[in-house]
Amino acid sequence: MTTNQPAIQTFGLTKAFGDVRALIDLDLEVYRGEVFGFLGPNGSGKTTTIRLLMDFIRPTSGRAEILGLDTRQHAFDLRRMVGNLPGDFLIYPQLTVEGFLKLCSGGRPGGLRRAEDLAERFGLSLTRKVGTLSTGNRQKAGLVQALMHDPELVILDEPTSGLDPLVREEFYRLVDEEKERGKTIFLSSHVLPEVERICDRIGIVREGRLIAVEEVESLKRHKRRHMEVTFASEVDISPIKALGNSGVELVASGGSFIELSVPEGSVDRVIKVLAGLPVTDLVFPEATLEEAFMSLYENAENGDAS
Amino acid sequence: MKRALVSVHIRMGLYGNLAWAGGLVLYAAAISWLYPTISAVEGMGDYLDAMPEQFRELAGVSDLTQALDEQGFFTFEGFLSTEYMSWFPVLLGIYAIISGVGLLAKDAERGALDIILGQPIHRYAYLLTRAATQISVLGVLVLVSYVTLLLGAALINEPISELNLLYAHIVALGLIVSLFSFAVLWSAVFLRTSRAMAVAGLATVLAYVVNILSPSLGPFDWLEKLSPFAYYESLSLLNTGDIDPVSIVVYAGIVVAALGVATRVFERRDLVS
Repeated sequence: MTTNQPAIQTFGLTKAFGDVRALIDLDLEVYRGEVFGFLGPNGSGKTTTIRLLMDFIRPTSGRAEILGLDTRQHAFDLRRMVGNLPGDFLIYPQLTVEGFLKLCSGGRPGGLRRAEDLAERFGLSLTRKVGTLSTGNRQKAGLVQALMHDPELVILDEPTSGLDPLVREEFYRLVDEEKERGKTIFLSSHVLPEVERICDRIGIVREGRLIAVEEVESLKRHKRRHMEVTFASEVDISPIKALGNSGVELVASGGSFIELSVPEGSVDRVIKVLAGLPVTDLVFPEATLEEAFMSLYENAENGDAS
Repeated sequence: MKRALVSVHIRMGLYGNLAWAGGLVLYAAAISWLYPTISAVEGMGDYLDAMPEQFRELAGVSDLTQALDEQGFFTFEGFLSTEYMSWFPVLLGIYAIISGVGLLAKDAERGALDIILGQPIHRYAYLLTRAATQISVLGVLVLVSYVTLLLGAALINEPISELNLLYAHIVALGLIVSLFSFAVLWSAVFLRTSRAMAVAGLATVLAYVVNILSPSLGPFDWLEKLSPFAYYESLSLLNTGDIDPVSIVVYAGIVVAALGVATRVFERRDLVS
């Protein structure tokens, strides 16, 4: 259902807080109908980007468009079309969950019925006071308010923070359903398996700069993989060490066991070297996004973000 | 959204506002109940004449008893003015300032602004809706005071002009809402309760002190005109019922200017979280 029409576009979006540049020259396109993960460690600029998109803070320079509308000039109209879950939010503790959702339903009819369905799916009681909710239940209430209006675009800041694994899985299923229905989802996260599970593409941000935008599958295909090899007896590993020229790293070795980090394109060479050795076991799992992410991060630190 | 906001904030502030209303009722009732006893005391003039010279200088009169008598101090209106009407806008003013500085800053500090302003509501509409709600609450509290005093006067059989008492309350409300609006302005500027309270509170205390000390300020007595308290003269209002149009203009001007600037600032600024 992904189209080439952008749901979110930013043009040199920059935000400085005093001398600190929290976001630098962000040029980003998120397409309609896709699930886009915005990754980076704490303080990398994810929340700043989301708050700029929602017009909670104003850019130092650059601008952004959502669904073709300027985020500053059409902030009010956009809030009818966009669902948002802020990071670390709190709301009036005296309200019941139902009261909180009623407050958020103003100006957009029909949300409460869907809110009830969503609350049931997440196992959220509508009668409890917001102030008595655990972090996870408060997050569920936030997710319900973000999704209750069936918005075209949902912007979520670390949506599964505090959720237990079962609810997290329910949330993933919901994201899949929303995507099937052609909705666009932009979410920030630093939980890599989550992004791997639900996102079509990811953007990686580091110290306020976007260092990569890739499809999840392609990112995994292109990055280093981890390999563990066990031999029948202690072997001479000098041929393996020689693979260092091809970027293969000997992560650990001891007796009849070695652990390697293998870059894309060197697998063939490694297998050929191993073929001449008495291998009794080989573990070579699929590349995880975490490895890809770390690899990209290391490359960026070394000044090579490609 | 606006209606829901009003309803939520009225419900959230209900117990606090009921406590304020209860306090005002007790205060107003006690003052009404005390008057027959106090007015029967002889020698009040001697008591006032025994005040130190410095006190009389501070008040700007040489014969305190005569001055107060001329102003109607020894009537029920005078007693009400001294013991209640001079203090009640100060008390409600404190409440107005506390609620004003928290209007935006509390929501910002608890992280609620991102949720609320993520809904389809303009920032100006949010601010003005919240302000209008609180001004209405202040209006109800002033009404409670008015009704309690009327009932109190009736119970002790002291005739008082309902209209004059109403005018005094209306001008008092103007003063209270001015203080509230001024506090809202600083709430919008800082989005931090402590900083807004420091500035709004200090400025209000200064304005109050300037108004109190104005008779002894000599060539600087014009400073009194900078204090909103100078435009509220409860005794004159209770005695004559003449509302000085300047006071209405000043209070309306403060409210419009403070809320206007607050809206402008809030529209333009980053929401801190």
